[in-house]
Amino acid sequence: MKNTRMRAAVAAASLTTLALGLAACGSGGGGGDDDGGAEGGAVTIDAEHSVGAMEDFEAGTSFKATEPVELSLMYRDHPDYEVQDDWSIFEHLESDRNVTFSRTDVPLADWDQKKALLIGSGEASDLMPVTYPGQETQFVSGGAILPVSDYLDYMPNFRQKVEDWGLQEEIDNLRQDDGKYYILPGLREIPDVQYTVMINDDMWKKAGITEDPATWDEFTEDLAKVKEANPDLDYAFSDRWTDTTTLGALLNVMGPNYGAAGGWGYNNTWYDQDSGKYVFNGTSDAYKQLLETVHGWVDAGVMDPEITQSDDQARQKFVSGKSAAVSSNTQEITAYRTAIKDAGKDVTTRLLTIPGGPAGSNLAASQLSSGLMISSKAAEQPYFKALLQYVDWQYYSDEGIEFAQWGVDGETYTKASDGTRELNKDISWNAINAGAPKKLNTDFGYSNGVFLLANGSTQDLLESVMSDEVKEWTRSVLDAKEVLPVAPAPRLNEMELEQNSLLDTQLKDAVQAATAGFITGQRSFDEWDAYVAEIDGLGATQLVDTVNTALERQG
Amino acid sequence: MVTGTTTPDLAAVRSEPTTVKDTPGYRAFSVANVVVLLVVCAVTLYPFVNLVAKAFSSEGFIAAGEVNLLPRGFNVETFRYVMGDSMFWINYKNTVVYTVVGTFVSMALTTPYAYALSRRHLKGRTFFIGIAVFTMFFSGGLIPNYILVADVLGMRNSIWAIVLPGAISVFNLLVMKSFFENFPSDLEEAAAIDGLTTYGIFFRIVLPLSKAVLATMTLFYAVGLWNSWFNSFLYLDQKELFPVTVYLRNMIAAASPAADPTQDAVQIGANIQSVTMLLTVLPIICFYPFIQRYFVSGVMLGSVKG
Amino acid sequence: MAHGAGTVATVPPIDDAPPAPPPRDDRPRRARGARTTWRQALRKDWRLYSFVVLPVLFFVVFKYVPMIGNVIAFRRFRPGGSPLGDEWVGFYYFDMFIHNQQFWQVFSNTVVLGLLTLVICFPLPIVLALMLNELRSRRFKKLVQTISYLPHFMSIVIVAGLVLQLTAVSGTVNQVVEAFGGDAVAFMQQPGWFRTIYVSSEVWQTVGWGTILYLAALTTVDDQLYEAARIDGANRWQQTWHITLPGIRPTMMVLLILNIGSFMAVGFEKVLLLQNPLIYSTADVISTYLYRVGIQSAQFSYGTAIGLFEALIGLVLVLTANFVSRRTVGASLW
Repeated sequence: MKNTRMRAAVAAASLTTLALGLAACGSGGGGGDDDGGAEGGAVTIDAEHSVGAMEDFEAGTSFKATEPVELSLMYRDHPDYEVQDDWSIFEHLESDRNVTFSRTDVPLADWDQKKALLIGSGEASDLMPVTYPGQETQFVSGGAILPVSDYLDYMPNFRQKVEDWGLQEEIDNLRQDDGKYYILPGLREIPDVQYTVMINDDMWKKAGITEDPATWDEFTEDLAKVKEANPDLDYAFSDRWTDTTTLGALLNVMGPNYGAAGGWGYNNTWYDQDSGKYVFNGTSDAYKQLLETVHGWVDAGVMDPEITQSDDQARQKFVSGKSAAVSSNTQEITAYRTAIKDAGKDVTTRLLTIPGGPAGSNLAASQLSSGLMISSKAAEQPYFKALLQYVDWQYYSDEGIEFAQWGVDGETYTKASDGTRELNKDISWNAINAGAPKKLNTDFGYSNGVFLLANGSTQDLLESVMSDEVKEWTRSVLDAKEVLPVAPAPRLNEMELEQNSLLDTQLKDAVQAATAGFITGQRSFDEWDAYVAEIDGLGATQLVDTVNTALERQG
Repeated sequence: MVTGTTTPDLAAVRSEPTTVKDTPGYRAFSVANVVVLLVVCAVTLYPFVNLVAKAFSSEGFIAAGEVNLLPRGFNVETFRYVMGDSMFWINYKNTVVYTVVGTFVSMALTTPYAYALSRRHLKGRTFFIGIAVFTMFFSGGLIPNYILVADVLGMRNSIWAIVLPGAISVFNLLVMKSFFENFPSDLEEAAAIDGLTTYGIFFRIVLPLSKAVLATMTLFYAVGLWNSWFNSFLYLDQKELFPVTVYLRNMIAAASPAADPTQDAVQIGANIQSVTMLLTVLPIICFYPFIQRYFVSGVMLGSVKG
Repeated sequence: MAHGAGTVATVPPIDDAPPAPPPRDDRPRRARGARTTWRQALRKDWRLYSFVVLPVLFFVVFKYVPMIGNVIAFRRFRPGGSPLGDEWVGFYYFDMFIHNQQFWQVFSNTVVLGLLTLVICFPLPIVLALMLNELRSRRFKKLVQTISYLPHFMSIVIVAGLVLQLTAVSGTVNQVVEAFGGDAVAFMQQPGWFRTIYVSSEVWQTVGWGTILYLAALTTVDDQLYEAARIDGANRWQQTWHITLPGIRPTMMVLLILNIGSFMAVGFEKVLLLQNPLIYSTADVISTYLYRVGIQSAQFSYGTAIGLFEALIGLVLVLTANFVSRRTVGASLW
């Protein structure tokens, strides 16, 4: 018995290191050759590889391949909408765009691992969507994926959106050691805001609070008031999302308001805009202040010290009324509300607008989201240019994105003259037309993460599928907060990356452990200096120095 | 011919005829024994009962932590959803096929090998044992195995990719070998004198009398195959070929809200875990009693006739 | 009184049976000291070798051929590049983990957890099997058996969820503690408790299933030995000590040796699901460490190097255990 377990454990370990390992960035031999400046080296595609490509393809052109083209696609199969060969989306792509696919279907549960395995074994498909920026790094040095930055001449829609929405800096951060980037990310017109604290509004009202707190200090007061006004509560705030990171969601949302990165956003290094250099994040004064605030809640008895509890436990406490606040995102609110209704309770819940902090009212949100990689072998295919044009149209043109999200005007939805879209009555999507017999994704294949990036990219499309509540909330957060400028990403070479990786892990682990310790009170803040020394001993200075050196190299 | 008394089944064998009076000490022990075992049962059973309760409860009550031994908000929706999907049944059938074929292949490879290895006079025996033991510790890693099976051997999307790579479990092999080593040699001697070849001895003497260990190993292999998803994940591309474990894993992955922000939030609920577990475990539990009757005493009592 | 040292001595046959056969161990077919050549062996035992052919082929094809892949512990591997790595780096990766402080902490955690699991989880199925053996009621015995196997089938996800719930500050364990007048303890937030919790959950999950083999082994113990012992006036305990235990000793030794060899394979998934940053100092093992490190940069070669290191340890342990077992008890794997 143990042997099967051992094999499985070894396999799992090697599987996950493979899947999640970010290989050395940078090409096998390349130095710092920066071809062609900001736009990357431009490669021209010859006639041999332009089978099926359109002559005049520009931003806004409606794409149709001049000859039928079949692309290989790694398809992520989501069990909620299992892929069907006769989906409307496939039919229309074939009839309207002359594009068909030979798919490799990979189930959702194993998507990342299987994708990594296939690429690692040399079986990358032409198109590999549902890839997050950063995930492509591990495949770069092996040469399996295409340096897309070399081919931007053929992607006018992409270039236009990057320009219109001011994303060049973020895109530049995706460059590898050789100056090129290897992923086409999803682009968003507005930053992605999803997480915040959800409150039990009834209990909040009982405490006489009518407005959202403007700062986290005000939130502290609110918590105390709520606990007093609702004596049945165990704790005013009982949180979740602690796994390898302590209080991942909460600290991620709070961090930027203090001038530090916390929770899921935790990075060992923090970019100091004033000095133009990186400093160590986990021991900065800003980070200390962040921890002191949260510790204050635990100390005052308004926050549940059991921060390591499972998500289920936290949810139970909120649903059963033992706690009045919990971290949430725009999807989870539906889950919480369903659970509350199922449990037979009648409670109003609300998302808070993210309060500000000592460093201002800041948001560290990205305008990039999951995108796609292209196999380097695609460049040898006769239909290569057509492939690029298709990708550009599908994922980055307004027409393509709308098609991927809503389907076909007249078939799945109707578009009024003022631009509002209405889904056909017999089709449902998320909260729209709930209960209708057919589903937009399951039955037709639209609103499918494989063909649609960033939930729609444009603000118009993004909001078109939001509920009013979420729409309002998103707008109010974006209004109240300032998006932090993008920090330049240091481009480490292969050796630096390998050496830094171990330091990175041990530092991160130590900081996370200490974060939990300080918050719960297991470690006292009197020990802070000892903690800083401990972290230094683990290699903090070395890490920061390596990063700054790389930064200077980039000039 | 070898004769034997009726073989008592394991559950009944107590190795102690009831003709002798028990000492008071032993009686006390028996009572204590029963009590302790009852406690063990309760402790073991509780989580399972809890699981069954959750499988039949509504999401809300589970989320509120109110489900303990009995279902609340009785709900068979998830069952209905899962069992109404034809792919579920196709995958279930696959699991059965893979398990049956795989167990057969595994036993066919392991048992003769174990027997051969148990013969101490076999030249090269240590070497052959060593070949097997070495693989317990050293393996090739993921990518070489994948390339071998999927590309070189071309077994992608075939049952052989599921059944072959793990066909021999060295653990099972060594245990079986140990059983064969302790098989009473006089029976084999007698059979040899009777003129039976190795094949004859193996098939007609040793195997029929080793039912306990054979049944045990069959059970181990079968359970391992039944629960396995790893090889399927590696080598199968087509949904129609998946075993039900992969189907259910996907279901759990989809039910987690962080799966994909563009998709419906929690469609089925967290009781999905309980439902999937139940559906996987039940057949095995029902299957086990059939195996149990093979757990019989294999050693013959009494005479070996000439 | 019969004494079985890895063999089952049979009661001498009666009447018209042939005379008792010579002792079993190491029966030489020819004069001691003379070696059989391969040709002779093949000719005599070809049937046995026919049993060996297919399995050996299996091992070679499916196990040994892929083992070449381990060379990436000495070469730099890049996903998408050559599966055997791109360039030689010698012991670079071994150096990496030998000089890494976090690795050694994680290594010692693995060893401790593995040892604890071994020491505690090994004897318990034997005890349970013996207890089951003493039951008079056949139906009760069957019932207990079936129930005891259930935890083995529970998915790790569920078991972990269960453990977290039981050990929560408001969970069952603490409720009992408080009922006895104590203070609630946040078990999962204190490194000192992790080992106890982990091993307990392992015991719960594996004890029942582990009895199967022993119960099967118990059937091979000759009933007549018990008869003889009873006639000699031995009580139940003495019978157990002198007949039952030696009777199942071969099985015990095989399992012990095998478990020793694999004791470092502490379950990745369960530790991963149970751990959190507060208890890393005891709740982090090699496999979970590799999992996290792998997120930063290409550690596939690193992981393989560590894997080879672990494999070597396991192999040495098994060889030693086997040797010791052969010398002291007479039972061994080979």
